[in-house]
Parts: sequence; C-alpha cells; structure tokens
Amino acid sequence: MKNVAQKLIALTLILGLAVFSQNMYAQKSNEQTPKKEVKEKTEVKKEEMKKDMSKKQEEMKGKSEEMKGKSEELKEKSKEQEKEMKGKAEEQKEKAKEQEKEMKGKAEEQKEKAKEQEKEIKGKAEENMEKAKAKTENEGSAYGKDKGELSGKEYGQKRAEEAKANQEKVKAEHTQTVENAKAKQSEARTKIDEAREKLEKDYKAKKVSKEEYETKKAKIEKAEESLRNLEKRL
Amino acid sequence: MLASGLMLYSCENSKKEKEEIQALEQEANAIDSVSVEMQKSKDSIEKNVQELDSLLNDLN
Repeated sequence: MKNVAQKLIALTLILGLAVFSQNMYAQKSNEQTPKKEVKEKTEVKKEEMKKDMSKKQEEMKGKSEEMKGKSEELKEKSKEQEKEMKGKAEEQKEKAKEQEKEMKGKAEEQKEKAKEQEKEIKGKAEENMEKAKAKTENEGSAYGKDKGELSGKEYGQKRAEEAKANQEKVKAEHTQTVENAKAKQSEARTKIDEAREKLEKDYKAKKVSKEEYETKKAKIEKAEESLRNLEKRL
Repeated sequence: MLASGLMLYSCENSKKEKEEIQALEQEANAIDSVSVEMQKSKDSIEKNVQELDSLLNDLN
C-alpha cells in the first residue's frame, strides 16, 4: 500500500510537473507569438515601403524623363525660333539691301535722265542758235538797224541781259514745276496703288460686277501710264 | 594819207564793233534758245501733271 501511495504521489508529481512544464511552454510560446507577428508585420511593411519607394522612384524617374523630354522640346523650339528669327533678320537685311540697290539704281537713273535732258536742251538750243545765227547773217545784225536812241553795241548788250534775266526766270519756274510734279508723282503712286487694291478687294467680295471691274481697271491702267510718262520726264 | 588813215581806222573800228554786236546777239540768241527749251519742258510737265490729276480724280 505504501508503495502504491508512493507511486501515486510520484505519478501525481510527474503529472504536475508535466502540466507545469506544458503551461510554461505554452506561456513562452504565447510570449514569442506577438514578436513573430510584429517581425512579420514589420517585414511586410518594410517590403511594402520598399515597393512604395521603388514605385515612387520609378514615378520620379518617369517624371524626370518627361521633364527632360519637355526641356529638350523647349530647347528645340527655342532653337527653331532663333533660326526663324535669324532667317527673318537675314531676309530683312536682304530686302533692305535690295531696296538700297533699287534706290541707288533709281537715283542713278534720274541722274542719267537729268543729264540726257540737259544734253537734249543744250542740243536743241545749239540747233536754234545755229538757225538764229544763220538768220542774223542773212538779215544782218542789229548793227545799223533802227534801235531807237541806242547804239548797236548798247542794243546788243541790252538784248543779252534781257535774255539772261528771262532765262533765270524760266529756270526758276521750271525747277518749281519739277518740284510740284515730284510731289504729284508720289501722291499719284499712292492713289493708284490704293485704287487697285480696293478694286481687287471689291471684286473678290463681289461688290462690283465684272464690267465695272474692267472699266475701273482700264482707268487705273491709264492713270498708271500717265504717271509713267511723268516719271520719264522728271 | 591822213584822210585815208582816218578812214581805215574808222572802218576797223566799225568792223570790230560789228563783230562785238554780232557776238552779243549770238549770246542772247543762245540764251533764248535754252529758255525756249526749258519753257517747252516745263509746259510739257505741267500738261502731264494736269492730265494725271484729271485721271486720278476719275478714279474716285
């Protein structure tokens, strides 16, 4: 009996020990579980954060690429604009040069015309002088003619002085006429250009008939011809 | 001799004067010719301006 009791006690102790150790183990494992979870969660979060970071990095890279692209585009555009501006500037320079050439050409042309006119006038004058000389020789000079109270020489001197005075007067009038004509010339050029432009516009907008258009065009052409004649004379 | 000398002198004088008068007349004629041509040119320009003026008025 004593043995049985001893065995029972030993068994109870063993059982108690087993239960106690199981409890301890359970307790320990309970304590370990949240740490693992936290670790796992932390790992997951880390992974997520890594993923987020890489995503954001990718996004940032994309944006930076986009920005680079835009910046390149802008650079290209500005280069193109610069080229365009340079081209326009060159074009304007060329135009200015051409205009200058044209103006020079016109000035030269006018000089030539003036020279020709002078030559023509001188030629005609010489011709007339020859005629007058012949006439004088045929009819005799003022010498011995009736010149009132003046002697032949005095009469000749007076005639020459009067001729000179008359020439000065005619010359001044001629200069004035040329000046006026030049003013009229530029006024006419403007009016003709404006009339032509208006007529074309009106015709395109169907404000004038074909017949009216032709009539007005003919008038413009006539005025243009008259202006060209005047330009030749100046 | 004296008379013929005087006559010769007066003849030379009158010849010289005649030449001077002729030169003056020729000068006057030359100037007149230039004036006439200038007047013609002036008239022609004025006529052209008048014609152009009238044609421009016709455009309005």
